[in-house]
Amino acid sequence: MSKSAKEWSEAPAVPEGCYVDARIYTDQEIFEEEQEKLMRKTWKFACHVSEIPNFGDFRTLDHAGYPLIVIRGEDEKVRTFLNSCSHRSSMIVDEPAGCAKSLTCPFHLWSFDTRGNCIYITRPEGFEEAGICKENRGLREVKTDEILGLVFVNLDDDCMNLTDYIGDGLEMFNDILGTKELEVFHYHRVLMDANWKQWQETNMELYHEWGHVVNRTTAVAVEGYHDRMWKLYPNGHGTLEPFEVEYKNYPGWKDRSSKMLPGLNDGEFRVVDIFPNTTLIARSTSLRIDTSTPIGPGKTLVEYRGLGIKGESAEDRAMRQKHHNQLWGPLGRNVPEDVLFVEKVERTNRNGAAQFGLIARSEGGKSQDDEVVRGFYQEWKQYVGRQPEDIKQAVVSISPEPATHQKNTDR
Amino acid sequence: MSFSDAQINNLIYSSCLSLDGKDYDSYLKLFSEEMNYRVVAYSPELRREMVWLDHNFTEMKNLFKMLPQHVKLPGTFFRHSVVYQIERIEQTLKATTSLMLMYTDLNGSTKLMAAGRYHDTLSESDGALLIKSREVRLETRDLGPGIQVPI
Repeated sequence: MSKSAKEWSEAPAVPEGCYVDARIYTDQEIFEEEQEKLMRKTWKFACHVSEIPNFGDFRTLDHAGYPLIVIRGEDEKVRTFLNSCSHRSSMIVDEPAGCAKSLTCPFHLWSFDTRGNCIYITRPEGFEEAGICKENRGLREVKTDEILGLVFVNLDDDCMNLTDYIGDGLEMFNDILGTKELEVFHYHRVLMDANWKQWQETNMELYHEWGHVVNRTTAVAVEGYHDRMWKLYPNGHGTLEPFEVEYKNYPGWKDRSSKMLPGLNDGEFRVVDIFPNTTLIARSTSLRIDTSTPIGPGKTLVEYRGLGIKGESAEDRAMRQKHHNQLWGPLGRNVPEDVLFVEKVERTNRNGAAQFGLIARSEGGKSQDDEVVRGFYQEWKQYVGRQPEDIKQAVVSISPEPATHQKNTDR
Repeated sequence: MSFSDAQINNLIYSSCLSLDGKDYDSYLKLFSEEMNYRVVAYSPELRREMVWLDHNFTEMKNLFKMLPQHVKLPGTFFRHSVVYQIERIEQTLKATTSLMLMYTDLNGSTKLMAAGRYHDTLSESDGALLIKSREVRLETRDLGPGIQVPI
């Protein structure tokens, strides 16, 4: 039976936590609160260590509206700074990557070393009266840490340390990431017309696999697919029990039964969602890391990386690239479909045609259960202080800091 | 091989027209069965070359066969190409073509989707001129949601 306007605007009669207010994806105020209370407080995946292997190697990124530069120092330590000169705030580096033993601002030629110290001020005598000198004009450093070759940054000086934040969340990827040296061979980005949470939901809820012909044939139809259990970790991370995908079920594709990444079996699929917006997916021979950057309520940048084994033969790399690209490249079978899915949702959320999104699937915590999405919103609520079911309602009796911050051991 | 510039141009433009028209059978007939088709781009983020698609004839055939079952951008693609250079080195024919790929959505709005070049190596089979290998070198690295058809 169809619904009247009144019926359409009534909250779904489902258990608590089983739907979200569609304005959670479109409201400018919520977006700004997320930037301030969530993105600037949580650990953000910045890059893989292989992207900055040597002294002076750097990567730049935008995070929560701030331009950052991640750079490896002479002491081999990776540090992150606001990509903003401590003089007149000019961006110092434009390039997405490069190598520089020191960083020189193009505006007035102030220079900084890889530890963020100011090492040169042009005609410094002009600043003496104001008390400005190299010693008090260093760059603003941003917390940086590594786990299993993944470099994370956090804008909050008082944040929980990364090890505690991740906890056991990467346990399914210890062998994949920690056995052999890996390197990134693929990078592309998509600027999509969708909210960042929509993208992350699509990484979490596997019910949408019905929409992919690849997944319908190689996974959903395979025995055992629906039997896997989700495991939720503290701080909003989630992972799913492994599963063996039958790639040969897709016409023209072959099984993935050789040159697997460390720890993986024939066709094995693993996934972990790191709160709030990074996902690792391993498919036997290939590994993808994606991470999103919210640009506006309805605009999100997603970066995709593909990784292989450093030093592997050209033949092995070609095979790994092929397997990666089959699903995840910009000419792949799946990523374009996922982007189109979330953009279709954004189109009806945009002006309020849609009012609620259901996250109500319950399958005993198994593959297509929405529990991991509901867990995501429980964590989101702790940071943003709003009810996902009605974003205009503040969370009652929320602690001033998210509960997860109480574990801070790095102060 | 003694093929004229006009014949070479015609082959390359036919490849664009057949793809634009979603006539994949005709498209494949322009390629040798030993063909290799690659899409590559340089990543300034990684400071290295990337391969985004690397297919032989059979893989291309399978790709086209499965296209109807995939969720895709619903509009049409239009390829604007200009053959810039033809090289004849002994028995090898090579052509470099400038390419712009445009996308027109269902409301009739057109936008530039990608810029790049075809680097083709051509061969003769039973008197016919065919594409033996095509490398699509993209300047554009943001392909919108992604493109499931060859460029």
